[in-house]
Order: sequence, then C-alpha cells, then structure tokens
Amino acid sequence: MSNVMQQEQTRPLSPGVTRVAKLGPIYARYAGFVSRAMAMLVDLLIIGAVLIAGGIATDFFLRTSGLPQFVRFLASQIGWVLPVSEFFVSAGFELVMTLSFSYFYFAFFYLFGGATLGKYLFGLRVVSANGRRLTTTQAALRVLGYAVSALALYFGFFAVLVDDKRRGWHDRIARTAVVHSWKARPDEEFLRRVLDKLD
Amino acid sequence: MAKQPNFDAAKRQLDAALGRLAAPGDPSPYADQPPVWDEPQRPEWVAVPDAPSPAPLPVQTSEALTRLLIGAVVLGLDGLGAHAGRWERAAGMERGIPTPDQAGLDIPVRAPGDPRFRHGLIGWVFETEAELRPQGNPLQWLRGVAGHFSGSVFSAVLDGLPHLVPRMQRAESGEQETARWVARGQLEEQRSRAFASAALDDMLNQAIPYLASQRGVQQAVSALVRSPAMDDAIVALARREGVRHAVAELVRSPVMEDAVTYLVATQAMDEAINTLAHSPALVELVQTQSSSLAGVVVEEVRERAVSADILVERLARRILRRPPRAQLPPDAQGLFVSRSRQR
Repeated sequence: MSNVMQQEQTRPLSPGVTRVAKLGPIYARYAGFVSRAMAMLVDLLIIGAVLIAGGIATDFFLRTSGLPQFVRFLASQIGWVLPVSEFFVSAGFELVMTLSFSYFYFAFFYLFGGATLGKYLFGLRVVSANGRRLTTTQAALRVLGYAVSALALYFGFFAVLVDDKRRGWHDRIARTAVVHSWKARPDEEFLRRVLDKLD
Repeated sequence: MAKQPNFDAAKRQLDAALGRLAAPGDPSPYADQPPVWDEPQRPEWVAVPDAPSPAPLPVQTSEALTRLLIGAVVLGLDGLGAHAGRWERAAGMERGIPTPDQAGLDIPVRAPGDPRFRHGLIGWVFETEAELRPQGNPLQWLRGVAGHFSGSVFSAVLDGLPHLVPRMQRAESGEQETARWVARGQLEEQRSRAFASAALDDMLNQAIPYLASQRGVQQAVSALVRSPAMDDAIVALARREGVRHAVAELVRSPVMEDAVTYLVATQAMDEAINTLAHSPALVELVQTQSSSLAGVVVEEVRERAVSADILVERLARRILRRPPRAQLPPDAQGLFVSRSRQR
C-alpha cells in the first residue's frame, strides 16, 4: 500500500492531471456510488472496532473506579442530577460518544489527509469543488452534511447515482467532490461479463 | 675430513662386537657382569606370539549366487502373494466356485500349499549346489557330479518302477532325505530372503549413483524428462487412484512425520534457514513480492469497485428513465479549470 502510494506520489503526471499540494496527483475522475459506499463501509468498521474497544476500556474504568456509585450518591442527594433512568443516560452517553468520535474521525482525515482510511484503500480523495484541499469549514460542513443526507432516508447518498458529477447532498452542501487518486479504470472483463448477463 | 680416523675406529669396534654376537660359541662380553635382577624377581610373563586369528572362510560364489536367486524368487513370491488377492478381487474372481467341468463332482477345496514342499525344494537346490561345487581334485569332482546326476536319474527310474525295489526301503531312505532337505530348506529360505533383500538394497544404492554419474545416462534421463511422453505419463500416473492413495498414505505416515521432524531438528536445517533468512536477495525478494501482491489485490478491488460504479449507475439511470452518461469520468479540466470559481 505504501509502495503504491509512493509510486503515485513520484510518478510523472500525464497531461490533464493536477498534483494538489500534499495530496498527490488527482486524476479528477469522480468516484462512483459503489466505491464510495465500500470506502464508507470500511470506515464504519474501523469506527465500530474503535468504539467497541473504547467501550470495553470505559466499562473497565467505570467498574473499577467507583464512579457510578459516586454519581448515584450525588443523584440521591440532588434529584435533578439524574432526572431519567440510568439506561437512557448510558444510551445517550454512548450515542454522544459515537457521533463525536465519528465526526472527529471524518473531519480529521478530510482536513489533514483528504481521505479517510477507507477512501485511501479505494483510492479516493475528497477535494474542494475547485480541486483544492478542503478547508476546515468544508470538512466540518461535509461531515454535518452526512446527517442531512442520512435523515432524508439516505436519498442524499443515492444522489451520487444520478448527479452528473457524482455528488451527494453533503458534497453540495460543502462544495466538495470525491475523485480518484489513481487512474481509475474498470475491470473490463468483469464488466463485459456482467453486462452480457444483464443484456 | 679430520674426523675420518675416529669414524674408521668406531666402525671396526662395531664390526668386532657384531662378530662376537654372531659366533654361537663365543662368550658374551657381558658374561662377567652380574644380572640386573635376581632370579626369583624375574617377571613371570613373557612375550608370546600372537595367536593365529581364524582366517575368514572364503565366500562361496556359487552358494552366494544360489542364495541370491532363491532369495529373489522367495521375495518375488511374497510380493505376488501379497498382491494376488487384490488382483483377483479386481478381476472379479471368486474363490471356491467350481469350474464347469468340476460341477457336480465332489472335489474338496484344497488348503493352501504345504510349505514342506517349498522347503524341500529349496533344501534340494542347496544340497545340489554343494554337490556340484567345484572342489578338490577335478577328477573326483567330475565323478561326484556324474554320480549325483546318475543317482538322481537312477532314483527317478526306481520311482518309475516301484515293483523292482521293495517300497518300504525306498520310502524310508526317501523320507530321511526329504526331511533333511526340508530342514535345510527352512533355514536357507530365511537366509536367502535376508541375503537377497540386503543384496538388492545394496545393489540399488550402488547402481543409482553409478548410473547418475554416467554422461550417457544423464543425457538419456534429460531427454526423457523433457519429452512430451513423460508429461503424459506423469499426468496419467497422477490420475491413478493408487498413486493418489499412496501419496496420501505417505504424507500421513509416521515415517514422513519422523523424517520431517528429524530434518527440522538437524543443525544443517537451522544453518540453511539462517543463511536464507540473512540473505539480502531473499529478503528483498520476499518484501517485493509481498508488497507487489498487496498492490495487485488493492488494484483488483479498486477495479471491481469502479466496474460496480458503472453498473449500478447504469441500472439506476435505467430505473429513473434517465439517459446514460455520455462520458463517465469528467476530465480533469472540468474539475480544475473553472475560472469563475477561481476568481
């Protein structure tokens, strides 16, 4: 993987290819729905693994530190500290942690690397609509835009299928685009075989 | 040159001393000197000449040849007996079924052959070999050979004319002789089997390196290995159930496990592995191959994903009754050269 990346970084550029500072060459072919979905799946798996590990560590910490007993003691003394049941507090805490970590994960990688780990694997880069690196605002808006795309029954994601530049709603909100960092070409034999079956 | 007179004088003294020692009647020059030890203190041991070791008996070539032949035949019969049952089953033959001419007749099923006959035959062969072995006076040997054969012929004639000689006498002498043959045959069968097995192993062990060192054999083997016929033969051999079964059994056998365990435990294997592990060329090769393999896998996954992009979009656009993309990947200029945005 690293060798591939290094080769891409040092390879002389073909005509029509722009090397964005610190992002390497951008071949400017908009990435499609499946590539992006697969990259998102990899990212979600990574986030899930980290959250599970973090949950185990947190559980260990809470069980050994006596913090829950301390919180219950405070709740018994001050009724408004825990106005709801402990289940909702725990679920809310986990939800907040999940969203926070996910937000941080995507925003951090978009801002500093141009791609999350899953997008690295699939050779994708998130760039500004003008081809430049994302700004902090764009990175933050794009991750918030995920929520918008997801809340509308995920139509914001499926918009990639029909948009001329393969943009989702979150891309439009943040004025970004997802492009290939490699000379994207289909597996022609596989494509021909499937198309023959479909036709 | 100045020392020459002294040398001549010493030589004369030495010659005189040797002459006195050589003369038996002359008194010893040390006769007037006392002995260095008293008689009672003289040690009892004296040097004795080495006892003559028994000379190894010469190998009787004819006996060894006979033993080799008999042993090879016995080993072959052992192998035949081991495989005959399987061959009969493969041929669909069943034991105990009478042939058409035997149908209806009360023919008892005979037990397997009596080993006494085999032992007797082997014993007879060895006794015949001993009788025919050239030894002693050639004339006596020739007479013995003639007597042996004439005796055998005479015995055969007597067997064919039972009324000429009382049956009892012939039966007794024949039984004694047969018992002797059987006894010797039992012994010689075991000896011959072991002898032939050792001889065949040794011959194979010596023949393989000898043949391998011959240029003509090397060329022939090389031509044979490269020939298409060998490819066909190997393919046909590999398809045979027996070969697969044998290979599977060999892999599963404890012998193979022991061999591998021994090989792994040897110091030579450790040294070989260490040498390979520290080989820069090999390390570079492994790293290059690993990274290139990972690169190939990643590229394959990406290509499949791009193909799926095209397929899914095509399907979605067909469902939504939209025209397919005229140009799937917008070119770089479409993304980067947007003067209105750059302003």
